[in-house]
Amino acid sequence: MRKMILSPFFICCIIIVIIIGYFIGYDISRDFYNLYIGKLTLVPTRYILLSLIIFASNMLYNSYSNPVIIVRKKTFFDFFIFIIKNEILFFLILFIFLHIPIFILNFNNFINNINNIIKIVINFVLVAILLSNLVKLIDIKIKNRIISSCGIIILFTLFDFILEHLSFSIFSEIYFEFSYIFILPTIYNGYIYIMIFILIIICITTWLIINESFRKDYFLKNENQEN
Amino acid sequence: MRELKFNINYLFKRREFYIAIIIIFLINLIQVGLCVGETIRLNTFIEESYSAEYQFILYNAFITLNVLIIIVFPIVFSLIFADSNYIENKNKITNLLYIRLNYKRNIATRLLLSILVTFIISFLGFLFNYLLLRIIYGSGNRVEYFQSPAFYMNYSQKYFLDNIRIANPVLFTILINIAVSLILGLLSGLSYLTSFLLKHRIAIYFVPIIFLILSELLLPKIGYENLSFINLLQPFNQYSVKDYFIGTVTLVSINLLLFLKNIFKKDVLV
Repeated sequence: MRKMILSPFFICCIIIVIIIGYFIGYDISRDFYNLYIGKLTLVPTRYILLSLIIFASNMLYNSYSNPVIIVRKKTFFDFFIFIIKNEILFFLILFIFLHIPIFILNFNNFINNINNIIKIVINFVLVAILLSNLVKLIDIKIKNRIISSCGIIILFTLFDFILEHLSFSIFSEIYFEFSYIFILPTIYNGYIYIMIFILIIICITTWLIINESFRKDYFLKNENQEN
Repeated sequence: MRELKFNINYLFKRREFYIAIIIIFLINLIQVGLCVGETIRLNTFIEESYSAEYQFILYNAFITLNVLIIIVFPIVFSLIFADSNYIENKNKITNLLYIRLNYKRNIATRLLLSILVTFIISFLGFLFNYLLLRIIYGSGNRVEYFQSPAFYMNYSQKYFLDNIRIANPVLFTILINIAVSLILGLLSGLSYLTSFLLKHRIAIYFVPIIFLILSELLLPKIGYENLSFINLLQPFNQYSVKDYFIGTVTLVSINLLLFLKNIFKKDVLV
């Protein structure tokens, strides 16, 4: 675990996130909260964060997806929960490092808005786990982690593009753009329902992944039968 | 040339090549669909809509490609060739391959092919988009109701090839098509050359995105506000021919530097 956090690849990711954090936090003290959430909706911020989520998820998958770790965890469910716990830790580290420059540049405003920022951090972690689960689900079907990772980003971007241009005609009453993905707590008053919905989707995708993995993986099936 | 023949055969056997073609043409088709949808929504047809040159995917100010051109196009084009050396090293077939091919010539061939293939696919994709729009909306300098008289139309040197746009909108469309396809080709070459430096395969495909976004954020800080690679991919933004030239030369220089660094590395068989 420590080896992965200190690996050059993850350190590069942290440096990129710090740069993004600096540009979010730069010159926003006059209207801190609105400018902060406004900058989180920008295309560069959004897609760099999505890319880094994919990188972290991929790095963990490559490190932990081997028979030694699976056997050590005894059941696949334990193994999967172990992966999710590590993923949450990595995503939290990324998002905390994103906020360090914002905190340094806008100390008082940051402390005054800490409640809202914590909600945004929780939302980010949930979205990140959901994205990671979707990548794993596609990967089980097509057995190619690279194509599933790139495919998810391409699908999200296409979805973003189409939604942006169809919002007025089709979603005229429920206005939603993909740019709101990281700031859902601030946009919608009933965020608790959205959070419950995301958690349900995470649970469903987790259940699907575990079932599909058992069906397709000879090693895991036999391991489970022996236990 | 053996390396060229080998790499062309390799290219046609890669499914990512066909995936890239399908995705690019699909995006261009979706954009045409969105233009038609917008026309239906505004209830403006034929004489009342903009002509094909102003609805063109690279020059449509209302249906902007911003997200796609920065994110999807670089990833899709990187899938074609960028990871070829990485896969060969990982599968340990490099030694077998370089008994038969020249190592340096192979890298040069792959670099040129990744730039050229990206250029051709994106050029043909945008051309497909333009031809469809031309069939639906016709051609000309129609940005208001009916054909606007020439003396009402303004141009500015601040915009890329704006004088050509007024004089010959078809030539303008072809030129911006070539300009953007060239930048995409160079970005694809960049991701191929950085694959030699990266240990994680997934990062290879995201190199152009990270390069575009970080350069957008960092270049103004060091005094180069006019140089924006993201702007170079969207011709309706404000940048001149000089800015385009500087941007292209910068990308070519970066590619050249990385290429020289890679070919002067110790040969794998020595």
